[in-house]
Amino acid sequence: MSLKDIFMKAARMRLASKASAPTAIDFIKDSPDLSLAFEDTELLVVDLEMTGLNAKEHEIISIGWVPIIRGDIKLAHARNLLIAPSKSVGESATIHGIHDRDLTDAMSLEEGLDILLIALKGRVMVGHHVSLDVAFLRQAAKQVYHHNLPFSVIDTLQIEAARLSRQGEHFDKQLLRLNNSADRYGLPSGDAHNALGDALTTAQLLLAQVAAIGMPSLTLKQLLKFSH
Amino acid sequence: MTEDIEIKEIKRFLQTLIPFDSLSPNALSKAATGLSIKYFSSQAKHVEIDYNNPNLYIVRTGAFEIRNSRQELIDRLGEGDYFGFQSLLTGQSVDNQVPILQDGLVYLIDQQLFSQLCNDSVDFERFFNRAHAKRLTNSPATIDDQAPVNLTIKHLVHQNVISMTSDCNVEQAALLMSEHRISSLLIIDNDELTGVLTDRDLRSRVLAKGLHGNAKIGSVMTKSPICIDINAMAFEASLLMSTHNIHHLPVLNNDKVIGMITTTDIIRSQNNQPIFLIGEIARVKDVDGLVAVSKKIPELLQSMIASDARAEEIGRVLTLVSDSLTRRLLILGEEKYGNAPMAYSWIVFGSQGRMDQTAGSDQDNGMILQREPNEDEAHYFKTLTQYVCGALDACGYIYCPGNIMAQTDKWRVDLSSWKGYFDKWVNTPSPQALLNASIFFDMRLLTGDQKLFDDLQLFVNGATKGNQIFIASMAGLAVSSTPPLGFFGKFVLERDGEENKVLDLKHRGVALINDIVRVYALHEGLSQANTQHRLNQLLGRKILSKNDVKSLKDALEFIADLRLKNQGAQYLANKPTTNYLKPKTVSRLLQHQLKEAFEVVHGAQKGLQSKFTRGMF
Repeated sequence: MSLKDIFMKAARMRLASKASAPTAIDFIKDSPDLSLAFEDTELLVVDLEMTGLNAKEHEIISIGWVPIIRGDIKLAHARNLLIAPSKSVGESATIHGIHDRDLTDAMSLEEGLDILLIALKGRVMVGHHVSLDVAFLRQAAKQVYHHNLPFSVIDTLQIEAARLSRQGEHFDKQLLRLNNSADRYGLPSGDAHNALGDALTTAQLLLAQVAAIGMPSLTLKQLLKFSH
Repeated sequence: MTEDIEIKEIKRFLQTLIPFDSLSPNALSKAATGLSIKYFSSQAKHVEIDYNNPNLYIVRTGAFEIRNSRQELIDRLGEGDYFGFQSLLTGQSVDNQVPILQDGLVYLIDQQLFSQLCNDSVDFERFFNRAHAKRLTNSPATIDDQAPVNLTIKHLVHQNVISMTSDCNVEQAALLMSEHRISSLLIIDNDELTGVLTDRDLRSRVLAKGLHGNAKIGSVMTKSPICIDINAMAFEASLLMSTHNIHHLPVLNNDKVIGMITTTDIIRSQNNQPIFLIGEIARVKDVDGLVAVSKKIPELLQSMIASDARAEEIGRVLTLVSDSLTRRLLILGEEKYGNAPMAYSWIVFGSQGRMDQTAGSDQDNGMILQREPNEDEAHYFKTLTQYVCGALDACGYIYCPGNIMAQTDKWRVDLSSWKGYFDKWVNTPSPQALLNASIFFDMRLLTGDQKLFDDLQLFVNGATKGNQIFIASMAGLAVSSTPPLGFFGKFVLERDGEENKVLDLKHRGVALINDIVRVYALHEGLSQANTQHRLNQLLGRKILSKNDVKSLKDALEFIADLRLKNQGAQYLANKPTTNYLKPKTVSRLLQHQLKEAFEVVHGAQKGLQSKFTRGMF
């Protein structure tokens, strides 16, 4: 364990000691082992649907995820939660297709976040343009637990950007969009703007990217580097 | 509603697959939400299958193969194809390997989920049980049963005992042998095989030793001959024959003689059918005989298709057979009507010229005469050509609908008239001239005077090479019909006579490539008529890149092969053979490859257009 790892672990423990909610404490304590190889580990590919792009102003209305367990996407453990927002979804319904009427029976943000954190415990989180999702999750954690949460994340968009820029040519940012990226690997692109559908497409994209990197027993740490 | 965990995209995909379409909506949802997804990279060479946890593998993207333990190809898989179900059904590990040809996503359904789906739908369960049985019978191990190496004596022996006793004399033996047209006799005394008497024995042990016809068989026969069991392999027989330098083996069934097997029987079994067919043609004495022999051509075609011969080889063999028929007919004709009063060349055009005949090809031929014939000579050639063309028609090479045949007066003329025809086609292009050109420019000498033909060929090459207007018109004709691909690479289907949606693999596939390559060949002044040979000659020339040549060669072989396989399937189903393929009847991988082949044709047409027709149309 490097000095930095020890320091990070200590910081996590300190965070956990301050947290009050048990799921948040468990989540913070059980950090993923980044030295493991990709095919020996468990990841959770997450996608959120929000009422807008500003974490301070807008709200999460859906959380979808699929786990990648030792290299396989396991649909049996996929989830797609609907979250009741405090305000109307408004105009954003045109983008995610979720209307206020769909959310009458939706769960609370507390409930949703708890279920997500249980699934995410000990796993690295994966997303496409994941920084936006992380910003919303941090904001939600502040609101629910009054506490900050540490996320280890892999961003398939960053992996794709690094790959395209290594190929030398200047490229259009449009090429990095989830469906465009999936197309380049000949992957089926799923139901756009559905949290679970996008999570699945992202998971398939990650598998294709790992294959394209082509390093035997690629570790999570190496993969994290590829995504920054 | 708090959750919606169904992924519509996966469900939609599964729904398109047989047998998933037979599942209840509930079971289909279960399948769509319960599967795992793996990604296989071609860097990994092949799929590692965990036989302790068997799964049904459903190919979503990419391309895979199934090979058995001997590395022989059993199946090729693409989108919507399955593997791994054998061990799922039998619970046993299978020695098959699954090489990864192209990276891809595969959906996995585990034992528990698979059982649930089988319980939901009888059709679902039946489908995989059948597929299991089919892949077993399709495995090369059983295909081998027809191949020489696994062929047993039982398949070859004529169970017909022709025998004598050893106290008969050799004259009687010789009479019996010539009566039955056989080269050896079994010698049986008191129900027991005591020897073998062969042609060679009569020669070396009777005649060469100065013995007479009254010599007893027992004194000259081969005693206690080497025998072979009826269940032995054919190759064991040929091994015995070659090690002991013998040509005949008595065949035993439970120690009882039931017949004889000869070297010829063994050779005949080794898939040398075309040679025998051509040999038979050479021996036939009349048209009826030729008609009888030509009835075996469909069978020959089918056995070549079944043995996976290359389309190019099949075309060549079929053409060699019709060439032999034509040659034989000309010999029989000259025997019947007397020797020809002057030298002539019998030339063939179109598919026979290109050597790519298939089932049901019509005849396209003509005759170059040494000089203008007088009235008697003209009458002679008219009679001879009517005899040959008529007999060809009776043999299944139907009369050319456009009358391009030597029996037509116009196409049975002297060299200078032929030159005149070609000159006119090349220098004053008209629609009819261009259509003629596409048939006549694929010409080949079948038999007769080489010099007459060479003279004409030289003239034609000189007239076309570098003739921009003519080449441009031919190029325009070559791109006037397009491969059946629409926007977004979808097949454009047409309707056949029975209102099925089909692809015409001849007119919108093979023929387009022939047309394209002909233009290049004429431009370069090549003398070859065969499209693959033309392409070989174009390799390394500036006019076409090496890659383009190779792609065209592959596309031609692929489409021609698919066309033949399709005709083979039609024949087996007792349907008339056509050029129409229903795309749904072939695997998704083949559909994909066919699209790629059509793309190559499309690209080549564009190239042709920009090279030769720029600014002309």
